[in-house]
Amino acid sequence: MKRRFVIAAIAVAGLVSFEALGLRPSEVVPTRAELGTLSSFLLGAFSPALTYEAAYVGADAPPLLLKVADAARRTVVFAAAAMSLAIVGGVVLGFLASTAWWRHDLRSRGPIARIAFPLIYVGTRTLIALMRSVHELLWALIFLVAIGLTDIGAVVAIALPYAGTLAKVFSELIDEAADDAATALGGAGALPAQVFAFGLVPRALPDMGAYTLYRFECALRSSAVVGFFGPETLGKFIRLSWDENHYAEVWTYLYALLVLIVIVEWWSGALRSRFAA
Amino acid sequence: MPLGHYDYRLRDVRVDYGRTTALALGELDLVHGEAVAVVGPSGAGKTTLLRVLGLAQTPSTGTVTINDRPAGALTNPELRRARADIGFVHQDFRLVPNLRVLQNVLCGRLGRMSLLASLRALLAPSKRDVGAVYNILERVGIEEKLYQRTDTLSGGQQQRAAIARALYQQPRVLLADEPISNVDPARADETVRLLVDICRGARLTLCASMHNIDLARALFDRIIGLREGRIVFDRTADTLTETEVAELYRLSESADGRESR
Repeated sequence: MKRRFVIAAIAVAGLVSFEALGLRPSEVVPTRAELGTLSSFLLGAFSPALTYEAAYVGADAPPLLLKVADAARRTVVFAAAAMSLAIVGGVVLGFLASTAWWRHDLRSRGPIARIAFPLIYVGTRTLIALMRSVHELLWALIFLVAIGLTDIGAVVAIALPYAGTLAKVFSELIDEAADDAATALGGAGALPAQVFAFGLVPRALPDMGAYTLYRFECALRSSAVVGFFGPETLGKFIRLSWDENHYAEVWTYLYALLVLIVIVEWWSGALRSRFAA
Repeated sequence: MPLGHYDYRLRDVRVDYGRTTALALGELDLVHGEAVAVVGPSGAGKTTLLRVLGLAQTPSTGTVTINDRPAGALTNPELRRARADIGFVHQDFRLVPNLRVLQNVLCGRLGRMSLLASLRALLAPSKRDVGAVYNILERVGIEEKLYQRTDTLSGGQQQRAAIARALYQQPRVLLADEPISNVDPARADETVRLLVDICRGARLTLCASMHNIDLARALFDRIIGLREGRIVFDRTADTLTETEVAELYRLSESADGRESR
């Protein structure tokens, strides 16, 4: 009975939102001109460019495949730079945002700690929520407006929301880690920070590593897309080729991105199976 | 600086978990260096008694006094030092499964180190520390497991790793909660003998809970029988009579019967 009601409510909500936005299903059907663009783009998937499509190419231009490889390399470097910032931020904020970090007995603490500890905890969680709630492309736009999108701006734009996401997930993984060893260490006189570092963190570490690798994969996509705003990653060249209607080139860049992501996926799979052994 | 010796005096100690009473003792004294076995059926309060002695459980009422100082009046640093002096071998080991045996054993001495020193000791163990851990693992018979991941060890081997961690702690009191429950009978005798020998040799107080009364009588000075949180007998091993043991079993059978109904 209840389930039927929920399904009906979801359907009604969908219809109401379509109506409110004035969406017409007929708009999805492409016009003849759009259909032409679409089909030549999709056909490009079967014949990605190996050389430039343009009739005239500058004499000093590198071979296309070399250019693609260099764009892919820059995409990886951007993602790695952003992730290395995000990991530091994620670990620091994630530790501070875990309830396990604050599991001291506040009653045995001084008056300053009793006020400061909860404030830091709530402050950290709020900061994490703020960092996460703004998408990396929005951060990139903000930097674009503020300082022009320099390379460091693009890296920080990715690192900010990624640090927030890592912090949130790290704190949850630590709080969910089995605490039997932690209580044993505490019972043998270990300080709360030692209990945290040696009883809880090692248990969460394999999952933290696996999740970080997944985020690295996401960072590759983000750093490619940030290229639309200027930095010389895959996204920039996808846009340039697209503007010239060189769809075969677009596909070459897209396949390069695919290869990067498959490599990271394979790598993280290999690491995970090593952790689990 | 370790206190050197620990004399316990427990008076009217009572531990309640919600409405159930886990422990209700009258008088109980432990003199430093004694080897005490705590016997009794499951749910008799053996673990709770060990937790009280390990300062991990604060009694609901009554007092625990160590060397004439009430345990409840200890300051945080004093409590930390006392806990560092008390080793506890948990029935479920409580090791970190994805650390090496070496690192788990090194963790035993955290209570005597600053945070910085402990980070160095665990992330980059010195040759001296590794040697000390190796010697202890040799005593418990699993020295070849030094660099193995702990969760690759069998239950009995993990039990030995847990004992090694407690010994590496350099405790003055060693509390062991059913240290042979995960070991096959042939190994049980050997493991308890090892614990008793080590504690006698280093003049440590040993207090171990177990089900095997014959083994307790053969190896320990003193045997305490617990049932439903109360002391049924508290005797030297040679004065414990068969009737008293039979009484503990008879009573425990009826107690178990009540529980299961």
